[in-house]
Amino acid sequence: MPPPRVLLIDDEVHFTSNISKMLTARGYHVETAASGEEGLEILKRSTFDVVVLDLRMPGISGLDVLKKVNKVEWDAPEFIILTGFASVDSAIAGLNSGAYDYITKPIAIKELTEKIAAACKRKLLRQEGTAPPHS
Amino acid sequence: MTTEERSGWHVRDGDDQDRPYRALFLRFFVFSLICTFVPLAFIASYLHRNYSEFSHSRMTQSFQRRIESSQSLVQLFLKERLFDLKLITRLSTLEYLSDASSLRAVFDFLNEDREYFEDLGVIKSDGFHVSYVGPYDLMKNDYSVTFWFRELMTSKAFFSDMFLGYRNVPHFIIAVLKEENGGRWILRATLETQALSSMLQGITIARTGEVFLLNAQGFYQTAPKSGGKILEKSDLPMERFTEETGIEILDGDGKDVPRKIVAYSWLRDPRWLLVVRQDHAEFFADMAFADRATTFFLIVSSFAILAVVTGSTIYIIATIKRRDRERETMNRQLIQAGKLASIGQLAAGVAHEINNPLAVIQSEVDMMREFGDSDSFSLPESYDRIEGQVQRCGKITRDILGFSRRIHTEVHEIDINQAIRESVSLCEKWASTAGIRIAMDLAETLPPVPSDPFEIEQVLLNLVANAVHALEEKMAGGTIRIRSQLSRDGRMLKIVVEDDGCGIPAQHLDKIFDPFFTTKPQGKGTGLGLSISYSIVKRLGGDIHVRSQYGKGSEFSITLPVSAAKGGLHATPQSSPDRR
Repeated sequence: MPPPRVLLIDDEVHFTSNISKMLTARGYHVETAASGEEGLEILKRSTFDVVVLDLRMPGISGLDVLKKVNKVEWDAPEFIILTGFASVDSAIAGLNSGAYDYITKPIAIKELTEKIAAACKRKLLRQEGTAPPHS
Repeated sequence: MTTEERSGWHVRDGDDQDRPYRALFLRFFVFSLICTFVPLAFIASYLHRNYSEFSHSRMTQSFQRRIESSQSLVQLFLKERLFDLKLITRLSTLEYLSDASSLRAVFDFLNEDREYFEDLGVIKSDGFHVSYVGPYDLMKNDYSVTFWFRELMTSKAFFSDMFLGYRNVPHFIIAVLKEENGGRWILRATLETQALSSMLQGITIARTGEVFLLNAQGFYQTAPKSGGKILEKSDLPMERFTEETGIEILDGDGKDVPRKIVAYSWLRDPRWLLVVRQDHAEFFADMAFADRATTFFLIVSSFAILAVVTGSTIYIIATIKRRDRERETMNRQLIQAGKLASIGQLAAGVAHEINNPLAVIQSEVDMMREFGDSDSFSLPESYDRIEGQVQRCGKITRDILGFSRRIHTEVHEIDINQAIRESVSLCEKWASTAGIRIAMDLAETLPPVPSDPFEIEQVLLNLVANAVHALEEKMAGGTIRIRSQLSRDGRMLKIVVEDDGCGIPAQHLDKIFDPFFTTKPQGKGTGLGLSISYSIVKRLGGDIHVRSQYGKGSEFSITLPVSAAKGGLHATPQSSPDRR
């Protein structure tokens, strides 16, 4: 079975670099994007199981990425919203746009890994038809 | 500041606050007085003039009618007496009348109803009586030498003025010349002096009115009621009495002799002047009363108007003042609410700004735990990264502390350019993440503005934040231009915040400064930003305007009065427009 594919989209390059290394060590195939535009480009040419997406970025915001990406496809990735806002309002907006879950920064790698694993499992169930499609 | 200083400051503050109301009171009061007194004065003077003219005309007309009727009366009396004598000469002969008993019979007949005649005599052409009935012995008197005798020879009928004559008593005569059988004789009668005087004195004209006769030389022919004897010279100015019937006002001496009104008319035969005279004050008493009543009415009306205008002005100004204070209180509450909203927004922003570096630090910690022992992991690099993130957090907290210090309102003389730069620095990161450029074009040397730094920054932040929102909505990046400049007269500062964002629909333009008016989604905007900005700018004695074209952009301009103690603050050396 191929390793789960994860895309990290965040303008905090130190953060994405560290997370990428730790997830790779846990057996994930990880790619990173430093902006919404770059993330969308990568999503056009590759498929991923999970996309970890920061909401506030220069240029296209995380919410805009969510709105633009095709979530109807059979192999569309699960999205996990990453937000620095203490309030849940922005995360709820993300969930309403079709994200699977949200995480508020700062986050420990353990918690993030659990969320990603759960998202991978959900994608698998969706592909098997036992989980509801994206809203 | 000591308590005395503080209270003194408040007193001055109260005076300053009341000054516009006092000016408003004065303007309103004067305007109301003009609006009420001018029409009142106009109507009163118009009515008074018309009434005076009308009354004057009516009264003088009535005075004129009085003289005309008196003239008719006198002339009728004299004509009747003349007619009596003419009738006798027509019906009788000299022979008949030369008989004393016949003349007595005629005399008695003439005085049958009333004794108008004092005596009656027949005089032949030689000037001596042929017969005489009366109280005097005149039979031996030669009348051919008298003025009236000579006059009669040409005029055939004659009225004399009052004169003393042979009898040395004031009297006047009527004489008629008769030509008979080639000879001439005269029938002469003396009229009862009192008859004419009594008749004229019987004409009653109020208390001071009187009617009397003067001869052409101004001697009394009848005695006036107010005093004066027949044949005495009157003090009337005869030269002023023209041939036409007329009315004259004769001034008194200001003491004993009152001002008089005189109507006069000349009789033809005898040439006497009929005079109707009355005290001016009595004659115009009704008009004077009307004048006094009008004056009284005007004074009472003026006091009433003054009282009503004063009362209503006080009430209106008090109401305006109360409402202004209520609005001011509401504005303060709004500003407070806005501050709280700002603090909420600030907290959310701060959380985001701090959580990002914390996330990096957390990831570094996780990296140390997992790869700390491996050769591929460089601990010093990790420390540097952590330190960098900690410094980033430190800067954020310092900014917050600087921001929180400004919450308490304190008026300072502030450099507006500095305030603009600080406001821009707070929005810069956010703007740049949305691809928005902020260009500043700040005038080099600007005088200070008296304001609370937090409040003015709050206004600028609101405008810049709105501009960022407007550009974000357009999703095409863009530029925000901020300009500061001094007015030509050097009394006002102008700050313009311009964006080429989404613009404001025309139907929203008149509402954007209303509290709680917002076009942002629920939970995104309080609708207080612009209304608070408006309140703050107004409170600082300035003004705020907006120009916008939907889809093309907006321009907000603020004008603020510069500090009274004008001293230029030197902006940091940015002679060319500051581009960020």
